[in-house]
Amino acid sequence: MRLEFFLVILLSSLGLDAQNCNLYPENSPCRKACLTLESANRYPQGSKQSMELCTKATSLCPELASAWHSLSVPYLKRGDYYNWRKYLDKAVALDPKTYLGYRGACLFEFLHDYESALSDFKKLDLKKSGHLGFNPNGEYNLRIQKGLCYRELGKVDQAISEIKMAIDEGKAEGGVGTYDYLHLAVCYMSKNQVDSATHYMELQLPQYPNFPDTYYYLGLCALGHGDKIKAKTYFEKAKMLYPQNHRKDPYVIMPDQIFLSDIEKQLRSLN
Amino acid sequence: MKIYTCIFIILNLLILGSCKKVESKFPENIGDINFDPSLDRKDFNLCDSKNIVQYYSVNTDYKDGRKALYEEIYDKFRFNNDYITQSGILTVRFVVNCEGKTDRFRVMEVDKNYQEKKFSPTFKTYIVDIIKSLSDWIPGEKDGKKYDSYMYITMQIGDGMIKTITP
Repeated sequence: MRLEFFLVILLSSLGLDAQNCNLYPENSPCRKACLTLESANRYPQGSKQSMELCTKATSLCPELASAWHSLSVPYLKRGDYYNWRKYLDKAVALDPKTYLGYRGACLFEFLHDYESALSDFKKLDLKKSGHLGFNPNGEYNLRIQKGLCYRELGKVDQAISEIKMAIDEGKAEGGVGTYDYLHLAVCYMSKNQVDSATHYMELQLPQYPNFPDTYYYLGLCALGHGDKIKAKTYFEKAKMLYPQNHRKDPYVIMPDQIFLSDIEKQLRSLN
Repeated sequence: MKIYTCIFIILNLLILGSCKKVESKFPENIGDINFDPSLDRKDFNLCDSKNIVQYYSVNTDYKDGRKALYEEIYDKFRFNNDYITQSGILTVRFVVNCEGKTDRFRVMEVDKNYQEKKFSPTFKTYIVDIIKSLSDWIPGEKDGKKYDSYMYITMQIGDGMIKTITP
């Protein structure tokens, strides 16, 4: 089940809305639109040919939400938010269960518009029971991003509640998200609850053993306990791991992401 | 029979002649920025003007990472009471060439509801000048080849202050 989720999300992130055109009656306008959309995906995303075919798909079948979504993606990736929303909002109106979470994730990641993102996640929560789905690159249960919205808006307890719920969902589905425990730990750090932060950051370690950010935050936890020697060890480990293992999302800075300068700043303060 | 063939051919030529070429409403690629002599530097070199790619496909970056880039913008920005009414989302899109130089700056503006709006021209110029002053770009590279690439920086503006910078 998780593999299918991942494939759908991966294809969507490439602008390839994975859908079965056979769902529409043969020779119907929407079947033709669906096939037209498939042919659009053979051209580079955002190219004139791709955009024209996506537009043709919407004129053949205005209720084909995936065509409106496909039109929107290049605008988001180029910072043209007016046109992005012009097209994506149509997809959301036609198929909110599929596209509310996607829009919320994009608002969260690309714009740090936590209020609007949270609004979308809440609406999705009312429409779907249980798992909200994943963000476009498949790394996050959307409930984690919902929690992080709460955190960024100053509602840390609600953030913790959502993230814990997402972790439980992950466990029920066979795996916790790669960064889930880290974000939960950072929530506790923001409340100065160092013991809880350390506990969850240590649970993060086996999720991604060579992740430098974990060691950085463990270093902060150690400082919270007054242990500068242990902190220095963690920061040095983070620095050693950083070149080959730091986060490299091509589009955005991800939440709680650490940079080499952050690690070096801490090491300088301990010398 | 010959007369009917001639009439048929003439009619078809008339129809073809009256057809207007349907112009696409889309550029070659969404977000393309064409050279504008009134805005852009004539001495701005491109490695391949026909293949300016997007930043994310070649990892265009800034020295010490994007966080350092945004910190430099915050450091350079100075609040001015003249701009206290300026609020919304301002995006500056530009080209980082294969040498790490920048030009072809363009601005996109929306309000907090993602509807079109106009910031004050002097405020926009002030923000663009800050972006122009950034000089530690690392050109995008893939498979050992450096590329010209499009980059953009989005700022959420509230009461004349920069609230957040993304992406």
